[in-house]
Amino acid sequence: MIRLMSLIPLLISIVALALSYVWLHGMPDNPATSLLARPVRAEVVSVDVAQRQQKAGYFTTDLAVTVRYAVDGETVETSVRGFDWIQDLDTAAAFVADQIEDGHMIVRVPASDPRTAFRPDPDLFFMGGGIALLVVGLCLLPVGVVVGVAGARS
Amino acid sequence: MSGAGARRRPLTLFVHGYMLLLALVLGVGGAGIMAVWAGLGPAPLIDRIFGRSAMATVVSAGWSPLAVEGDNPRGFVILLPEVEVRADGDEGTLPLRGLEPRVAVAGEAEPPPPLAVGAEVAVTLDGAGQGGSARLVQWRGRVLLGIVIGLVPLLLSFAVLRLLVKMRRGLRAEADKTEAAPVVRRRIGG
Repeated sequence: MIRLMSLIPLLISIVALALSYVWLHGMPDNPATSLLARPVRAEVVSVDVAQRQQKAGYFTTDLAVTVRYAVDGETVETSVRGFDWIQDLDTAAAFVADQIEDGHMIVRVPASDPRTAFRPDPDLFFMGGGIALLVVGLCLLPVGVVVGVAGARS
Repeated sequence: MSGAGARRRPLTLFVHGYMLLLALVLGVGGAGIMAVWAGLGPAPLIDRIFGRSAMATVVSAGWSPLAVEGDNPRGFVILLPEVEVRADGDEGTLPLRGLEPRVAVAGEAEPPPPLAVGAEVAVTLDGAGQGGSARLVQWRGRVLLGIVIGLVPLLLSFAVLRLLVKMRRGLRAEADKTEAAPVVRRRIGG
């Protein structure tokens, strides 16, 4: 019983690390790990802002930006990822006014998949939460190992 | 006593090595996040701190409309600011970045321009010569929040390093104490 219970800190740290991986990389549409990708100055082909009626008086906003850039001697035309959480017209307008300059914008292109373009700024909510989970997981990992070893020896 | 200490040693070494690694990862990661966020956005913080800042005069100001498609019964339209400034002492005009857009209804009276013509604004200049732009001097909440999020792991890495130094010092003091102990005990017993 004590041996089993001494594995609890290790279990907590593994769960925290798995959740932080999901928050930092897996779940958000513009993940914090895209900060590691190379910034590329891309030509904006089109900006489409559209309202969609969900209910009688309730509208949501879709923002779609198509960009064109050259990578590895090949021209890629793709839709920028990271606008899933834009729900209102003000946020869409702020993005267009902030990020698009002279028909160009910076996109982040991961080396593993150059056909994917992320918006340059990651989601702060997921970045902060993912870092908090990562710190908890990393700090509890040695505690888990030490307690686990001590429990196994008892 | 010394036997137990020897048995605990590899585990202690593992914990201390891990702390060093953790401090390095948190420190490099936090500093990297801060550096990236300082360079993001229409008015990068890094330009604000290190760039050339100047006063500029607004030459022309207006809105450039961006149509909103889809189900749009009220006829909303996004107005993007379009402002040109002339930096004091320079010849050509530069586009001004970092102004707030507006959402308006088509057909209604257009809101007043984002800045009055002739107004003086503080800007940082980037890309000297043609193709450059003037960036409004301002604090951006989102950029600052990103930098604060990067600051947290950086400070944590300092805390871990400090704890590591304290623990190594404590170990050394303990080792000194155990050597001195038998002498003291003999004196009391004798």
